[in-house]
Amino acid sequence: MNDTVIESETVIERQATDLVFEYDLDAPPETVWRAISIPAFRDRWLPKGDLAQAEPVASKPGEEIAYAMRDHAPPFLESVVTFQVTPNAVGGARLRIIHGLVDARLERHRPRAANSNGACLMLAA
Amino acid sequence: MIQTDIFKALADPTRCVIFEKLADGAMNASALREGMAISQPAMSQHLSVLRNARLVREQRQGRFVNYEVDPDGLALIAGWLTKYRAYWPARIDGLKALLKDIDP
Repeated sequence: MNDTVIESETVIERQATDLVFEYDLDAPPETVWRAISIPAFRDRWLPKGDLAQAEPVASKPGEEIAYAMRDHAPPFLESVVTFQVTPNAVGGARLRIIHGLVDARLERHRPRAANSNGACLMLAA
Repeated sequence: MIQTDIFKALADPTRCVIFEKLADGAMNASALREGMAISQPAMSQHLSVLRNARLVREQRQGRFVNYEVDPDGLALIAGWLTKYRAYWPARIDGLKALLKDIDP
């Protein structure tokens, strides 16, 4: 698929099962990190009920944090979202969101590349 | 490219509505048309695109044809992708509002 660039947002579908979004935010990376990693802040924009568990499944302080998510509707597909924060060129932060399905029931449908990439990213975190 | 077919099939707002209706349960074409300003031939056309993308399948019961979401995982993935493609941009709006409130 071609990348779609909408203003400062980029939506890229790398694999059939991975969604990747990039946003340039005005706030500095440290502030964005607090908003995604401190539960009291996180709950204000990412509903607690959308996470499978409040604790991250992986974290690299200041840079990257991953949470398991669980859908509300049948078949309750399981997924992992990874947030990566880096400084951007204008003093703000670039937030990259990588959201991929990890549901074991889908394994037989996933392209091999999606499998290896997804797993590597999560193991590296 | 299967995912390209899926996104093409769901890029049309009418087909997206049809797919979401079927996600709630199997239906025949006339039940699907209820509440939608759409002709019967147009509905058939949309259903055929969804069927070719393997998002829905038809099941004949005597003289009637019911349509349902293809239980194959590809349809599940398509539904999931459609939902979360809209989900994150909406969450980011909330995040931006929160960032304004947090002291740097």
